[in-house]
Amino acid sequence: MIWSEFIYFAVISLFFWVSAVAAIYLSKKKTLPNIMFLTGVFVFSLFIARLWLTNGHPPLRTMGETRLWYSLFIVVIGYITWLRWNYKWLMGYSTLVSAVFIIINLLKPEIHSAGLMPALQSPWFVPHVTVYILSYAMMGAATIASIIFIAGNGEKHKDLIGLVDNLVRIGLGFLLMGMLMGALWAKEAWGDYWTWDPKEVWAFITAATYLVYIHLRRITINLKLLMWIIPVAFLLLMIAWLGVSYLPSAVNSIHTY
Amino acid sequence: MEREGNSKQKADTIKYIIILAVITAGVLLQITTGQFPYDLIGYPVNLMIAIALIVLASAKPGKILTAAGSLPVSVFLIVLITILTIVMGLMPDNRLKGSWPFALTYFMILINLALIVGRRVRSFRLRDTGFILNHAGLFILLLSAGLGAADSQHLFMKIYEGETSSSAEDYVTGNRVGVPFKLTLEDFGIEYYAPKFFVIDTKSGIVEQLSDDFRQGLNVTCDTLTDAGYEHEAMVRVKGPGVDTSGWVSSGVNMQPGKVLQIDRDRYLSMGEPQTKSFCSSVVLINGNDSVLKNDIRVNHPMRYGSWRIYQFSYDRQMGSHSQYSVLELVRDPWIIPAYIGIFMLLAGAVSLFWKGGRL
Ligand code: HEM
Repeated sequence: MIWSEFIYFAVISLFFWVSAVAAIYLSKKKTLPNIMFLTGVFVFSLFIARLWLTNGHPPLRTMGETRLWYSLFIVVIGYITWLRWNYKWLMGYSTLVSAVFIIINLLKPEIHSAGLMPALQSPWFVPHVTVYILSYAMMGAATIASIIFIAGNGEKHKDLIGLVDNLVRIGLGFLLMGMLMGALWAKEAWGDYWTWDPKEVWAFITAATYLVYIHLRRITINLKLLMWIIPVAFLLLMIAWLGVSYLPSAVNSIHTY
Repeated sequence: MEREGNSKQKADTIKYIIILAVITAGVLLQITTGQFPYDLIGYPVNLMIAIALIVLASAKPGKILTAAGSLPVSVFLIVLITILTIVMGLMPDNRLKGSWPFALTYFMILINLALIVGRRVRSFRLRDTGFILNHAGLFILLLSAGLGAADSQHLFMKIYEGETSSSAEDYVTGNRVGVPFKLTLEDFGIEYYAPKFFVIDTKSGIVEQLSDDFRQGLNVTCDTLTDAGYEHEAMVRVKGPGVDTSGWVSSGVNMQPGKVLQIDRDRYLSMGEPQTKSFCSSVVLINGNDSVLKNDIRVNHPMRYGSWRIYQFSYDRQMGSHSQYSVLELVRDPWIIPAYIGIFMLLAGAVSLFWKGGRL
């Protein structure tokens, strides 16, 4: 069983990724984190390649296999964002999420394929859900920054606006990806990519509110007023995520399992 | 950081008044004529509207079009559709999606998007790629989803095992409609996950679930697993220290306890209700006389045939896996390819958002 070898690859990759995060915080140069990180990616990819070869088909069929890709992609995304924006915490965060998925795979590579209802047995399930979770994390951070800005006295916190802009755009990127993957999945599962199901309605409202922020940002002068959109949008996001099942409109939702 | 607030644009409130007038007209139409007549924009009307929008996008805009395609109008429209959608989200039914005000707002967004995409394409520079992917992608998707969906068909075909059918019931009108192929249902079946077993100790009153790690030294093998409607039955063999027995256990129906199997003096084995793993209709699709396609249709695995996709929809729930028939959903969406193009452009656009971040 090739999966029994996974632990070695996983531990080595995680060791390199955690070291890369530590190196980011400790060293001024980027060389060491780069080497550490890419070595981890190499080791992890080696396992996927071995699995691919022994399977004879791309390892995308079982939940355990999709989680494998997710563990890899999430750290790569964190890494690219770090290269681009220097957000150290994001690397740490994505490594943590990846570690969680690796641990799930170590404990039981197939645990989630047992018991999943038929509609959820899809390669879209993992990316759709996790991209949303990433988005929630970004938007949560943006909300905190926006509240600090609203509470503070303008000038002192001017640099916060740049952070909010960045987080909202990255978060919206993930949010839209989540919606679009959901649409592709829905087409495979139910025949329509969009049906204005209550969950979809609230996802749309949330995304549209963040869109209002991004677009108003270019014309508004009163930044403090504008910044209020972020906490409001986050509230809507929470409704979309957790609250939908309590709304009267949700009685027929296919998303309330 | 702030862009220059165009003072002429600001003074110009007339465009908002026009938008609100259109919405008001929509409300009036809603009151007098009822829902937006979606069928009327089916082919070829929707194609003509699409072409008109593209022509509009490529025309050199005068004063009116420049105003209609301006950023403040976009924001106003996005806020409007958001408010309408919040109302939709709070209503117990979603009739609002087919209403006049919603359709008109949607249409104004299409016009606005067409104009801004046209403007950017005319003065294209490489760094506009992300912008074009997002806005053109959304335009194409909204066009296909809003106008194109008027051409889509949703049919339901109830078909018995061994029978062949070439007609199905329209979801909206309830009429029987012929389809350009014949479907034979060879078999319908339900697969279950391995059921969970519990050991009930009548002396101590403890019920424990047997898992992979915790088996109380017992080895349970399940030979046959059948279901009669809601009740699942399994023929099991239990082996362990001082135990070697076999017999039927069942999951019970509607809170009624099922059959249990006595293992030894105090202990009994009972079965939980197994979870569904898959619903599967094995079908043969016959096109004309010669070409024959065999397929297993399962949830998440529709069958494709031309612009048709065929989905597993339902079955006889009283009979479970013994259901004599299967209900298939037949969906035809001729605009699915542009819709996918829009979706993939938006996916690429999302990556660009991610990459460009807050740098305007
Ligand atoms: C997927 C959804 C959308 C995303 C991700 C998005 C993103 C953006 C971004 C990032 C910009 C700034 C671009 C730049 O300056 O390079 C922008 C500008 C703009 N957006 Fe959007 N947008 C979306 C939907 C819309 C919609 C629905 C409308 C109209 C109703 C719209 C209208 C505009 C306009 C008018 C501008 C300014 C264009 C210009 O100055 O040339 N956007 N959008």
